[in-house]
Amino acid sequence: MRIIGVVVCVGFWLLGEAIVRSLGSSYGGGLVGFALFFVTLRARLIPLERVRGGSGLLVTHLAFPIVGVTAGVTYAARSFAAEGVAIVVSTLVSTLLCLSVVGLAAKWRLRTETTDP
Amino acid sequence: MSALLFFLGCAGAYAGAYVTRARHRLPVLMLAAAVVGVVLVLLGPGVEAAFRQGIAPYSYLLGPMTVALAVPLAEASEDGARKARVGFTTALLLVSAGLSAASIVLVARWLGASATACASLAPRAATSALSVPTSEALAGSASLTSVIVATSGVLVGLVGPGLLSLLGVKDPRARGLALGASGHLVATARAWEESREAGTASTFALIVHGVLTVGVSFLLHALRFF
Repeated sequence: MRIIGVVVCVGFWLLGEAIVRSLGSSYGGGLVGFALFFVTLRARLIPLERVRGGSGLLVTHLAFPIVGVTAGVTYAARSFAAEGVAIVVSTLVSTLLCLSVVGLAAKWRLRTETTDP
Repeated sequence: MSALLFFLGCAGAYAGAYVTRARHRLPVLMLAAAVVGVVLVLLGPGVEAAFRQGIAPYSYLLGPMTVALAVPLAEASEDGARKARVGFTTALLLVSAGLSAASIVLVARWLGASATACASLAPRAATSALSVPTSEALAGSASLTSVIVATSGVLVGLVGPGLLSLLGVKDPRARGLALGASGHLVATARAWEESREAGTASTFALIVHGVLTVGVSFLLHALRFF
């Protein structure tokens, strides 16, 4: 069953690639394929049960193809050494802001939902 | 040094970190990348061209993996439609994606970062499968984006639950949304450890927030923020 899900994901990726290339875009076809696949699933043109196993396999190993890119920061670090402070501070601000805003707003909304008659 | 060795070395590092994950309990990506990174430092800058050539084939795997995220999103959106107010949640995640991308770009620019660094930082709040291609499309550095995304995920995974408790956020759905939106896969794994409810909310946030962050990053680029 897993192979079906993997083949379907590869098929939608290739479809996305074909679309972005025909449009002359430099953007990868993965996201276009993702959007098309999501719409197809929501429209129930493909049953979720058929693709759940294969998708689960790919999502579980999401980190696999980015090990090399992440390790490649060894070279990127040299290029961006002069901007290290800007990168670290901006990342901390953005991450903690996002965590706090979403947590507090969702907490407020869920409390309102509970107390509303 | 042959490109093939780097290709196999990355696969081996991942396999080793994945198989032993129950023992070391570290994020698999961080451990595998750290091992490869140490090897690269030891080998020096002379092997960069062979390394780049060796890891290039992996980019073809990112496409199908990005597509695969549509399945948990479709499942989560079906659950969410019944259990929560999806409209509010999506609006909240849109605000959060805007805040994340705008704050990181503005602070980085204020501190003197280049346009390339800003393009690499803008999609930080999206999971790697979404942020890396976005960074490349915006002429950023895929390596820098990947490490920033992984680092912020580890940061949220480590301090996020404690910070949310300090802020009085106890509802598992609220905790899951916050963890998934800010800390990607690492924090989502942490949310699943807390409860199924937190894990489901985190998965929903991980994907919706990621997609919205991609849109916001392009918008900021079009508005010449960087």
